[in-house]
Amino acid sequence: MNRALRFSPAFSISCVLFTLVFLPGCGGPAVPSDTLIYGRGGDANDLDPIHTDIGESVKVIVNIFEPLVAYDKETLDLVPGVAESWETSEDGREWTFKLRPGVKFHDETPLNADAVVFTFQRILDPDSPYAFGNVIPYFSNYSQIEKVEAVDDLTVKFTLKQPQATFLPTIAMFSSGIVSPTAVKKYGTEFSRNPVGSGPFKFEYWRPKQEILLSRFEDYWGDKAGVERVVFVPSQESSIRVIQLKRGEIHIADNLPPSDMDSLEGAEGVVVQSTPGINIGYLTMQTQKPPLDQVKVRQAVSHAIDLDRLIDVAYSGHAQKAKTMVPPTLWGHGENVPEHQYDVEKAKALLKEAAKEGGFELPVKLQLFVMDSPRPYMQQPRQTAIYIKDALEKVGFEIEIITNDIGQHFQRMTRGEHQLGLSGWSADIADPHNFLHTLLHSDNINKSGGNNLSQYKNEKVDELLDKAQFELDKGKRAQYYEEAQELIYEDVPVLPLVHVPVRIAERDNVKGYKLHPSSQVRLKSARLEE
Amino acid sequence: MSSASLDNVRPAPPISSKLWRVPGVWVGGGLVFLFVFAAIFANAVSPYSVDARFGKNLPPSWQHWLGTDSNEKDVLTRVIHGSRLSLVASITSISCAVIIGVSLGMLAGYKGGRTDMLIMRLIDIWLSFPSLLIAFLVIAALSPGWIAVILAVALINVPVFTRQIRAEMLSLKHAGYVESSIAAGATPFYLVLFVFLPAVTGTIWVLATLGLGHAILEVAALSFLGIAGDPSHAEWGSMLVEAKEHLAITIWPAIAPGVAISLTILGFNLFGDGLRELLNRRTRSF
Repeated sequence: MNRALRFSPAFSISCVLFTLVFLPGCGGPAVPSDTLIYGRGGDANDLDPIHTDIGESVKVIVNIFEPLVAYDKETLDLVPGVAESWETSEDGREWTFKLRPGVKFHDETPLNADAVVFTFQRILDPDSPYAFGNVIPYFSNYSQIEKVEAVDDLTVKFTLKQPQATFLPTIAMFSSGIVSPTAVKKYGTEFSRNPVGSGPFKFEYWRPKQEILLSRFEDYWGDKAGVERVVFVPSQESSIRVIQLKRGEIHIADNLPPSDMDSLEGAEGVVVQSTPGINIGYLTMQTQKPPLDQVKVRQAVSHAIDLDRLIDVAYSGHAQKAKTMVPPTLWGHGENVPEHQYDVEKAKALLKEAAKEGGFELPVKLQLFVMDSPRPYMQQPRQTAIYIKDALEKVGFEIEIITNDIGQHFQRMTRGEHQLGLSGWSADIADPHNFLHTLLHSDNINKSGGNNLSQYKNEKVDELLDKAQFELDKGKRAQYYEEAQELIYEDVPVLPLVHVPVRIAERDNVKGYKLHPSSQVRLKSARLEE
Repeated sequence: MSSASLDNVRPAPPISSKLWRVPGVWVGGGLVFLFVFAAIFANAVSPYSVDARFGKNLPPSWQHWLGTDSNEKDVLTRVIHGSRLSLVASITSISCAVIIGVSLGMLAGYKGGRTDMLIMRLIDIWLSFPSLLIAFLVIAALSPGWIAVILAVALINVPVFTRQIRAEMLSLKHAGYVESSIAAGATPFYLVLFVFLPAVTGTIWVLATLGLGHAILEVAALSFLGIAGDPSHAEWGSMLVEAKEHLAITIWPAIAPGVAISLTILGFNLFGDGLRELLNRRTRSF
């Protein structure tokens, strides 16, 4: 057990020193000047677009693969990507995409209608030999697609079971990235380690936990990438990324704690970028288990927490107070939902009442589930949890914090094992559906991966969300979402906490790279100046 | 036995006369006393209440001698309160280790033969696992929390006691007075309780005191790794994890629990070594 000695602060310091001394050796002299080094907190898990929902994988995937439809450079508008144009039928059930001629995959295979059909067959056909049997995390997004057919070499037609407003945004998601059929057939299950797409960067190699190297694709159909190579380097300790960035060993560092970001803001040669993220950090309350099955107890939780103080403590002031699950940067945000109210006395009174009615005693014991590593929407989970615990204990709760690693944390909460739990969501598609339906519709309560962690069931809300999903008129949809959000506010199945801006720090010689509101890391436009 | 041979055996000098010659006992005892005192009277000694919030990462000042941490809490207060969990957890786990370890050691030493072989091979297997691995196994079997940590630390420390006690039993078994009591018809129960146990008490005390030092470190390490349950409790190991992430901003929340851990371990080690010195002379005069 003498190993324990190593965990002293002295060890941490020597760790940092060690890194300082030896890390330059890894990337230093061998790196040519036209290589962009992207430092991040973790490694990818799988580079096959349909098989991952891990942010660190997506960062790489969006640079290798391209969907039919793309986001605009700076906004969330959808613009032509691999597809030059598209049209819908009168009833909204048929979508026809015209492909750009002459587009090639990195392995020289032409990108034609057959490749598109092949790509979507992998997702839609459970028996497809090229889906490689794994679970497809975003399958439900595609569930309304009835069939995909090639009309001619450059025309693809999608037929939907019923008109769906989120169809086009789904087609723009990273998981809809068109894959090279030749490569999928050639590599088989190894495709996830040898991805071939049509994006601005070509995959070179992946050394797990060390680096992923991409190089510029010279035959790209649009503007070619600004740098010759991109290296994704994972280093788990954020303090190491800070030092690497200060020393110029990496060009971009993301996912840093807010206080580090603040200290980097004034550092020489470093520029900090920020964009309002489309995300929500929230506290889920298991509505099917006592005592949180009582709305008064949930209201008491809500009134006990001072969001302004929470933002100070856990986000160093860099977050926006949330009042509903849909971020204000997105349309459909519930304007008429009342602001969150911090009122300790009211919380105490509500809890007392509930205790009397429910026949339980104060203090009310609750477990609070917390993840062990930071997420973009939950940058300091431990501090957040401790703040919430202290706040709740002031009004008559007794909180036990249960920490689990990130995978287990969400797995256990999906099974409904928690009472309170920290959670959050970053938008996959810029649509309120992605927040409200995914996180609060009763269809999404299931034990193997549903995201309605609160197990919230309200028929009226379900109905509104269903209507909004199959309505094509944006104005009407916004109205339905507004109503749903007001109902949700009254039931308090979740306490929306914060919307967190996405911030990165980069060396000042990195030009042209701009954070996208979708928080996709698209490095095509980045250039390096001497 | 002739009276001449009895004269050669000098009577053991009383412990009190030796005490002043072993400074370790004083220094170590003082440190241990300090932390035990802090643990018992934590509420009275610490300047603030343990969960009071002041401001984030404040530097040391007259109000906050060791500054505040990233949860806005007073570091000194939390270090003082932290001694509670650390000491309670270590003392409980070492007590468990003593009970299990000493029983196994006595059983092995007394019975000998196949029982001895079985127990000692078991201990060998035990020792061949890295201690962290044992801890993880225990925690995987139970769920993360203080009970799991205490049990894990107890199990890690069992072999030390078993081996040492067995070794002493082997020589004790053939001591003249033991053989006499067997001849006089002492039952195994009587032997263990009134003959063997008093004879090994000194050893147990020494080992337990030294073991406490290890236990403090092990407890802190396990809670550093986040398997000691609720991270909001004032505990030295979890304070270190918290502080590690903010080393670039403030070092006090890291230094304070680190120093506290070092000092308690130093205290227990000095005290244990001193005890050994004192008691060894006494045991040698049997």
